[in-house]
Amino acid sequence: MATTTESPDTTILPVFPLKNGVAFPNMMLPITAGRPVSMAAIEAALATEDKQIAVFTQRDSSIEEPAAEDLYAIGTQCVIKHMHRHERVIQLMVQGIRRIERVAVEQASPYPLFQVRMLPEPEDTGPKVEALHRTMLDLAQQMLSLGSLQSRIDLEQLVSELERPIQQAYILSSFTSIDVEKQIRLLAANSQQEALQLVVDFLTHEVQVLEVQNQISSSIRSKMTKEQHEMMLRQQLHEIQAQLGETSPEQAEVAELRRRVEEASLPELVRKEVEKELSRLERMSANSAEYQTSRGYVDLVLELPWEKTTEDNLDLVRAREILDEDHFDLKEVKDRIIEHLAVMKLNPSAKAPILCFVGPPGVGKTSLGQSIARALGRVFDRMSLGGLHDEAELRGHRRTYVGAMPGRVIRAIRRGGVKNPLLMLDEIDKLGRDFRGDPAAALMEILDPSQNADFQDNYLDLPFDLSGVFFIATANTLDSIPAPLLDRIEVLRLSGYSDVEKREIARRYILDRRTQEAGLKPGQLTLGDEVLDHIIQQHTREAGVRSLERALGRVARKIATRFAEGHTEPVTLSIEMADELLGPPRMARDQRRKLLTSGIVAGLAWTEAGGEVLYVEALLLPEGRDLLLTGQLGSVMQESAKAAQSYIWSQADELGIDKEKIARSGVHIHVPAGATPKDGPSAGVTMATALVSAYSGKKVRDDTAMTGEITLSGLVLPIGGLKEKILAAHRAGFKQVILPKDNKADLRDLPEQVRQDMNFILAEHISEVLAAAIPELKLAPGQQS
Amino acid sequence: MKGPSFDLYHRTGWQPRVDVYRCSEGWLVKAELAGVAIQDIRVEVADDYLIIEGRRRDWCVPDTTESLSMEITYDCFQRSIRLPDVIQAEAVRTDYREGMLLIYLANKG
Repeated sequence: MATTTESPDTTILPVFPLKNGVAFPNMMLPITAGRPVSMAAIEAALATEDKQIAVFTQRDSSIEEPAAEDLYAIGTQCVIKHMHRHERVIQLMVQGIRRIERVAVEQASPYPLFQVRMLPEPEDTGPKVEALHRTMLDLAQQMLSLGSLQSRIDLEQLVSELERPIQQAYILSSFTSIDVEKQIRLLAANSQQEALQLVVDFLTHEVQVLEVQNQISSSIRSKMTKEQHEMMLRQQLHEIQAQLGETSPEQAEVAELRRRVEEASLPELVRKEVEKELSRLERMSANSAEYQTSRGYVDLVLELPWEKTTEDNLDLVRAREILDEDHFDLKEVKDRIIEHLAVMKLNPSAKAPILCFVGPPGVGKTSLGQSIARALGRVFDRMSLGGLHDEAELRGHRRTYVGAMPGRVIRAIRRGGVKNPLLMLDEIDKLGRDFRGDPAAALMEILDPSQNADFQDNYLDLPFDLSGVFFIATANTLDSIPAPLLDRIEVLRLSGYSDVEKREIARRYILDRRTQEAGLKPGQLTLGDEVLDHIIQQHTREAGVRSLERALGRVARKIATRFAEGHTEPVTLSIEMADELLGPPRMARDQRRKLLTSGIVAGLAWTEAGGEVLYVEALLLPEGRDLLLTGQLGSVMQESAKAAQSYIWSQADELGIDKEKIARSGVHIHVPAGATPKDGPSAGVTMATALVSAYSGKKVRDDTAMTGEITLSGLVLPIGGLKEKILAAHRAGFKQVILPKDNKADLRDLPEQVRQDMNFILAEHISEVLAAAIPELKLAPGQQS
Repeated sequence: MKGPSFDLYHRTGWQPRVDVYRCSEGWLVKAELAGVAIQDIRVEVADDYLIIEGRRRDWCVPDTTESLSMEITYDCFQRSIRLPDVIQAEAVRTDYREGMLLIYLANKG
């Protein structure tokens, strides 16, 4: 398609619609074309021998296929200088030739073809144009000096190469961020004066904006320098102080620490370490985080009692008095403490023992520790290890960590201020353990007398002698304490109290304390033994005395309320009043059941909270065959039931049981309360007795409770927790307890009162148990082994 | 050599490359003008300037649907070379062969 000239100043050209830009005469313009319409126009232009194309700018750059009216009427005739086709776009370099004006639309698709008229280059001159030209160059110079104008055009070169002012105007406008609409107006300007005026206006505005911009940034800069200036002054101040011999606050602090180090009595190793730390401290800035850490460390080292101890009070008589004053009975524990005092008296360098009190809650483990500290005259501190699962809690964090602290042991020593306090480690059986480590393992080092003379805390990072510390741990059970740890400590058992002991404890210790706390005067409240017994038996059920103490506290408060309301007469509490104050008796469950039917036997169980009476119920099932076990029984207990059953089947004749009955009926054993999980072998004897009673239809004595493990051959094996079990039986009102013969030794631990109240039958074989428990049972001769 | 009238405004189209030699009787200037039709070239001497100008037209547009690349500029060209001596305009002789324009210039006097 050739461009044929219609008249001297018109021609027909393919049209390239340009987005966001204007092509000016004489200027090179790189273009990337991607639209089908522009690509078609380019192809058409390239097919001509002159390679000319008309570039018209779009009014709205978002239109993809612009019609003639979407383009400005003024455009530029250009020649394509280079062209390269890439995958989806064409890159062009075009050079403007002259301004053109659309005259007619020759074709709309596939690409627009316009008839255009060439416009002459404005050539007007005069003083006005001259003046505007100079102003424009001035403004351009200003913009350059203000740091704007893209690519830093060389104005002199510009002026020398393009002598016409309008050409310079075109170039300048393309180098600034002037908007498309203004550029089109510049292109449309038919006189130099008009064009130059446009550019001058725009440049003036730009220069003003730039000046304001520069003012803002320079004010920011001046603010910054002010801060730097202050910093410099502060440094100078430091130097002046140094030269005058004055000390800064942080230097004074370090000097103070140094003085304290000199005064403190520290082991040589520790002194060296702390002096090293001090010299580090001196070189640090007080504002750094490390300064604070380092300071905290020096403080800790200085506060720790490296050499300070308390003198033990070794008066044995006084010590026993204090222990008796605070606690009832607990003879074994008290004897152990007195023994230790005696040893200390004879051999002052003896290591402190590491004890562990094991017993149900509320029996006074923690308070016993307190009174031991009082008897010995030692500083007392306690920490609860319950739920502790992080080894670092005990041994501390290394100082490199943020927020590092010494472990609990070192902190307790620091609090106590002496190196030989009595440290109580409560709830050692409730230590947790997780991925952060096993605190029980850390305890091993702490509690080993042969290792703890140089205990290493991670934070302290210096050996500290814990061998003077009297450690007492407490636990409810030994089961969850790791064996290696248990091996290092001396276990003292505090079992539950009997009702008589509780009465004594209430009378001697609790009652006075509680009435005083309630604000009652001595004599205003009197409780008889029978009332105390009633409260103990009917309103509480526990191995210790915590609920009892609460119940008495409640009684005291309610009586105090009466006095506060105007009552004046002293009160003697009756059983009825006690029930009125405390509510109806709650603890009937543990009572002995009277008039048992066959198949029901009282057994004894041990829990962490003391002993309990547990009834075993056996029932024959006429149609069944199997042994059915219910009541949340553990696997050991189930096996024990099966062993009992097998034994009875094998001995049916001797026990006078009809074998037919065994063959025809199944049996169901249930152990209430059904919601509580139970386990252990010690109900074996009980279940065997229940089965015999069920098969034979003979009743078991209702005043008899029993415990013991059974073997397949009918032997009765010893069991644990006997004291608690017998106390529970006593509480429930049993007169007779059948127990394994091998447990005889345990009977010595029982309170005198209980031993007198009850009859104990020591059994070696199940036949002895049956004979004692089921009076009506006729045992065949030969069964008595 | 007569060419079409040129638009002054469009004089910076492209510049042909030239070689210049000093000969015993004058100067030889070679200009690389491949593809330029001889009637589109004009040589002019003004004072001590030699001006070569003209236009290259694409006289062999192939009948294709898609152009892939275009590096040759089809546009006006102009090149002016300043020579040390004043040249006698009448003594200019040209020869155009194989796309090269040879211009022989004789010294004045």
